[in-house]
Amino acid sequence: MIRGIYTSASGMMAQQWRMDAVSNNLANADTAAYKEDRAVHKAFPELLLRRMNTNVVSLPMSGEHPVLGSLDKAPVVGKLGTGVELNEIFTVFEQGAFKETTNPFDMALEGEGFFVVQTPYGERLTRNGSFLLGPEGLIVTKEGYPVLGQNGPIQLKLNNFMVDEAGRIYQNREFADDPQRLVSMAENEWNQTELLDQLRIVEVDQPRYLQKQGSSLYRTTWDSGEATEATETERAVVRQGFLETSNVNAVRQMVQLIEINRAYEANQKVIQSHDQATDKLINSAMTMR
Amino acid sequence: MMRSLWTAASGMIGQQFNIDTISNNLSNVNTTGFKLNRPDFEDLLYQTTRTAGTPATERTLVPVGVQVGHGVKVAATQKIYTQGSLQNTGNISDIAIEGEGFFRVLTYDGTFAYTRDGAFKIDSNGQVVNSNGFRLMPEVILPEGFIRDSFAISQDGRMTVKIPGLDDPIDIGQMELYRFVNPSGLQAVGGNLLKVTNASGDPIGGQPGFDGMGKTIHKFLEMSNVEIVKEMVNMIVAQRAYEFNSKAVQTSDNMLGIAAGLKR
Repeated sequence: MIRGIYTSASGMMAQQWRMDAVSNNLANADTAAYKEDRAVHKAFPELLLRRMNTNVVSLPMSGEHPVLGSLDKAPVVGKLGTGVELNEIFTVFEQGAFKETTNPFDMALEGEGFFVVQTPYGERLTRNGSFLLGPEGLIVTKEGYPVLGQNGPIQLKLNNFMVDEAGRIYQNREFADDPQRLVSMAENEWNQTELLDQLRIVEVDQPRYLQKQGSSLYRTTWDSGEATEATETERAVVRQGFLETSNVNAVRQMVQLIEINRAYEANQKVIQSHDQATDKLINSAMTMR
Repeated sequence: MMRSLWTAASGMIGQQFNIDTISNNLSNVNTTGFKLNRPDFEDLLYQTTRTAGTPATERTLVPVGVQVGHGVKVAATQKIYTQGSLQNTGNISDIAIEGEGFFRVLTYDGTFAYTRDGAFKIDSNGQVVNSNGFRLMPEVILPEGFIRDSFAISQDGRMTVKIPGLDDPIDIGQMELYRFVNPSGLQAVGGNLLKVTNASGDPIGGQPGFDGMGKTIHKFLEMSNVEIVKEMVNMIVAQRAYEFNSKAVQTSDNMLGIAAGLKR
């Protein structure tokens, strides 16, 4: 009916999408290694308006000169925007701050890169290094998925492992073999230190196109490219005993909330104006008495 | 009705849980052998409304999908087993563990429970029990007419006591401690007790001071490992996060109001 109504309705819907993204960011303001989502809008395709059913016949223009030899029965009026839609919600992989926990199973990544986790659906990536020790002595995520090293799942013991900045895991050979033999911090003298494994840290070409899976897991997509092992020089630094906090900037989210609210309101006013104009047309312009 | 409303609500619920945990930590700041809990959050599932890589036109592909999250969930609460500081009580039935390990007690239903609370008592039969009357396992029974002040426990768990008429103290048993592959997997059941789960693995017993077991320190108690300052900072963060989420709920509500205002 009235084109403007649908245009501003598309504006309201687009703001609602942004609102969804902002709410999710705020809900995860305290989630370890959560990465902020940002919604981007794009204009709908523009329409080329032409005047139809006209008596006037004009010559089509080529640059400044009319082209002779053909007639344009529907001269061009101009372009018309038809509103806005959500283009994408992408993830901002800015570094989050570090929080010291002193828990040896907490690991934070400094720099670009991901830990690799073995799930039943295949390998997944994560930056949330809040790991646990599973009952079999494997390092696992909260869901129980094993974290992968170069040689597969990593089996170790409490108080008998150290992770250096390159993600290399060392253990004391003395206590490693017997599963019934648990170790205490005080007795471990590290006299037979050996390299157990190295945490796999991978990179993707386009992290922005990674798909979030929930539970702090990411999946590679066709666009992000396959995950490749990080080279020795570009590897993210592993910090044992730290957690990466969420990179959501609460102030920015609050400003966005205000902006969304107002933009939504402005679009609503446009719809109301259209409605009022139509109301005038129907009920006032032609009154039948 | 509006996704963001529920998303922000999940954030508020999550922070409420956070505060619940912090409150519990703070209220147990003076509980013997208490280990603090830490909630861990994870993002909820994502709804994909447009998949990346689907054809946009004949020749091009949609480069980025549209995915929107649904908020946050509590993934786990872990107990953090750092050593609490030791307090000298001088009480003969107090035992602290310095290092790793748990005491084992027999609960009223015949199952074992594990605890780091070493505030034991000696009941009328001379048996060492915890505050609820659950027996310390392996059982320790003090001989009749024992001299209270002579009861001693060495760092490796040997227990001796003197009885009238004998010069040398007599040996009354060996204390055992128990460890778990994954102590964070133990289930707290209240009363300072923990129960075995599939996640914790089976208990591994041993003599105190050997094979990775902690030492038994007699006449001491282990204090709670809750650090007030850390909990306070966590509480500030939780409160603010709660507030931010409430703003998102308010904005969502406001937007719904505006939408409802469309129709006069």
